[in-house]
Amino acid sequence: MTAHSRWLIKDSESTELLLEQYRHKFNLEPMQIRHETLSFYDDFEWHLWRKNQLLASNNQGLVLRVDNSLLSFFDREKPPVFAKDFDNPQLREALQKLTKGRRLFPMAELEVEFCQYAVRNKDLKKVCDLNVILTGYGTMVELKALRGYDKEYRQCLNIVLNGEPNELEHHIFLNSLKLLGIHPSDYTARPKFKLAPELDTCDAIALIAQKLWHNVRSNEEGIIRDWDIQFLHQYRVALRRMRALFSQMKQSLGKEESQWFKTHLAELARPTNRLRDLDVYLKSEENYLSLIPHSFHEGLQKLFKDLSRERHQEQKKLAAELRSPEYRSKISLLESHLALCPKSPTKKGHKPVLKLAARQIISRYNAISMDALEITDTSPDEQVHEVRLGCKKLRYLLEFFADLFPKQQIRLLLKALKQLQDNLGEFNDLSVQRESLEQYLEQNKVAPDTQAAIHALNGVLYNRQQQERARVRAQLESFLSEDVRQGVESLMPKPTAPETKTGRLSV
Amino acid sequence: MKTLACYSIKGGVGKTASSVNLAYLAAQAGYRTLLIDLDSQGASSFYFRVRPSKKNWGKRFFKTYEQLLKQIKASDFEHLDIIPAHESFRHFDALLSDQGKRELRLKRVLKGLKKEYDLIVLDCPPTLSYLSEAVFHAANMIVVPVIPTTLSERTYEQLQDFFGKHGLPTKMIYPFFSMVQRQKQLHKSTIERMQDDTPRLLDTLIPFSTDIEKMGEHRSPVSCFAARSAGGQAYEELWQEISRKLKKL
Repeated sequence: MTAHSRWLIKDSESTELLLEQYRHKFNLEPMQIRHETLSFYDDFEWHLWRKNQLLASNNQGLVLRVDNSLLSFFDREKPPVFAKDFDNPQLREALQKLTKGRRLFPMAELEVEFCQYAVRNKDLKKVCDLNVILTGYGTMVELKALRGYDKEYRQCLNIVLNGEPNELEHHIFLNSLKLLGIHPSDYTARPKFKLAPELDTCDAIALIAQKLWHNVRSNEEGIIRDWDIQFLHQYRVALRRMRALFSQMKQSLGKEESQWFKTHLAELARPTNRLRDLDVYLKSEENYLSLIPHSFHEGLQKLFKDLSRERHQEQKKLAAELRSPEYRSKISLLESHLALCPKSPTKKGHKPVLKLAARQIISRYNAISMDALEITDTSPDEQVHEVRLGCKKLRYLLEFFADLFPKQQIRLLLKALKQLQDNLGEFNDLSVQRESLEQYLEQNKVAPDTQAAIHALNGVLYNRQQQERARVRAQLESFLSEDVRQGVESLMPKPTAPETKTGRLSV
Repeated sequence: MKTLACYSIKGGVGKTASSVNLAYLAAQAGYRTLLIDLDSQGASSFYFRVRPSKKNWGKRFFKTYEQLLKQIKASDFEHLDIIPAHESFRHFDALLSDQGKRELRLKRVLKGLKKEYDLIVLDCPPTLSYLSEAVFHAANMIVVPVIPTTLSERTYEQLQDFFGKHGLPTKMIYPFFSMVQRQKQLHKSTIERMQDDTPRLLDTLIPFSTDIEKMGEHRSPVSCFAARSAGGQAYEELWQEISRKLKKL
């Protein structure tokens, strides 16, 4: 048995009393006592906090990680900026996965005292570990048993329990931060819209648009300061979702208003295109290098050096754009329109959102099915591209209206869609990457070794693209399967037989 | 899981000091290590301040590994556990003499520990007996401390003869010099002679050192309280040499 338990003691007097009792019964040897000022770190989306994780640094080489309740120390680490920069491979991998490559920011500070004691018997053999952590918001007492010393552990346990301590659900750090008033921001990359099924469709649209707009605005500062590349990505995703919303629900909102939003939102997205492309290329450097023989690496690295120079310029340009008065006035114009939306909804717009959303999803699925049925292994790429766009639209609809439907139904559909989209997306990405490499060759004076490297890379990418293409038919089959189709049909709230209305499901 | 036995026919050659320090250094290197003190005089348990249980459990030692699990005690150091010697271990030979396949008993019972430990270190009593035969069958590697004197050299030869007679592979025996006093002419000449014609002789020499003697006072491995001393460094080197060989086994 290796038992391990922790408690909360609220005042320091009772902590002293507890230690006194230990000294009475055992030899209590202080092994380490240290005071630290800890800065706690998290990313913009509070990925760590939301997963019951904490990351702290004393900014002098010590990094602490709390994983649920387990505290571990890492020496000789720089204060956190990106998870990939950590030296310790375990820490690095775990945090990279959690933070998804996002930058870490300090979000709170705590003064902490760590006391580590060895509880020893009369032979001075250690029989128990006793850790005491004080934060000023409480004291955490932690007792760890040693194998073969169960009796002594029980004695130690009784000493603590006699003081009637509080059980501690989380680590003392998390408790203290909460008492300090720290809580995660309300920003999330995938906002929940929590629509009521009977809400007017036009009002639902306005509500979704406002939440997405909040995401657009929240990412501006991160783009200007170039904190990490996710700010731009999520800014663009929010804009794209808004455009998809207005274009797909235009029958409810009225064509004119929808068109107005679409045009103005597109205007915001346009200046960000090149920077995002560059971010994506630069991110794939390692992957690209791994695809071609070592002798080509130097040539390709030149290309990336070039791209990274261009990115630097492009980032500056965009930051200036976002700071400009012209941008501000675009924003305030959009915000004034959003505040008044829906201006003149159609008759459809006043229908409850549940029914309209279901109908829209079903007809989108049918449209994809029609296109998909025509695709064979030899169909031209453009046709595959059409299906991909259709899938994207369906994906957005599902995301907007997911909470209206039973989770299980939506999950089935999302899963089927995701597999298909991964395949089609990869196929499309590879074709875009190849095109842009060729474009680069045409538009720039390229050194011979870089030329050779690009040709080599292009060859590999072409092969990959062919492999993805070969999978398309099978992926489509499973997306068109009876299960998925029935899942889609079941979204309709009443048995009003949408089949006969659309007449397509029986194809 | 590998099993390393520290063995010598002759007593007082630094066998326990070697077991204790090697086990400690292995644990420091991240091996989950279990030191089993088979010597009923119990010196290696003493160095780790671990007391054996009061129950007379020696007669159950070779029954099942669960019996062993109950007796494991954590040391003060991470990754290092100990089964302390018990007085009843004196009767191991009598116990084994009554059993069939006695030479394989220890090997079988240790097998059960392989999930929990990467390395088992056996500190063996200085006798040639049924127990030592069982140790030779259980171990992957046997390290033998030898004081560079004529007498010790002879006992080392006896060990080799024993292996030969019992059809055991001598290639698992790795002698090393222990308690070396270079200024003694006898030590010097014995070392030179044996270095020329002893197969698998380890390069590291463990010096006779007051730090190692002080282990009894500190009741902990020399590598723990005086890692930088001549004795501490010699054990570190010895461990490096042995761990390289263990990895190849």
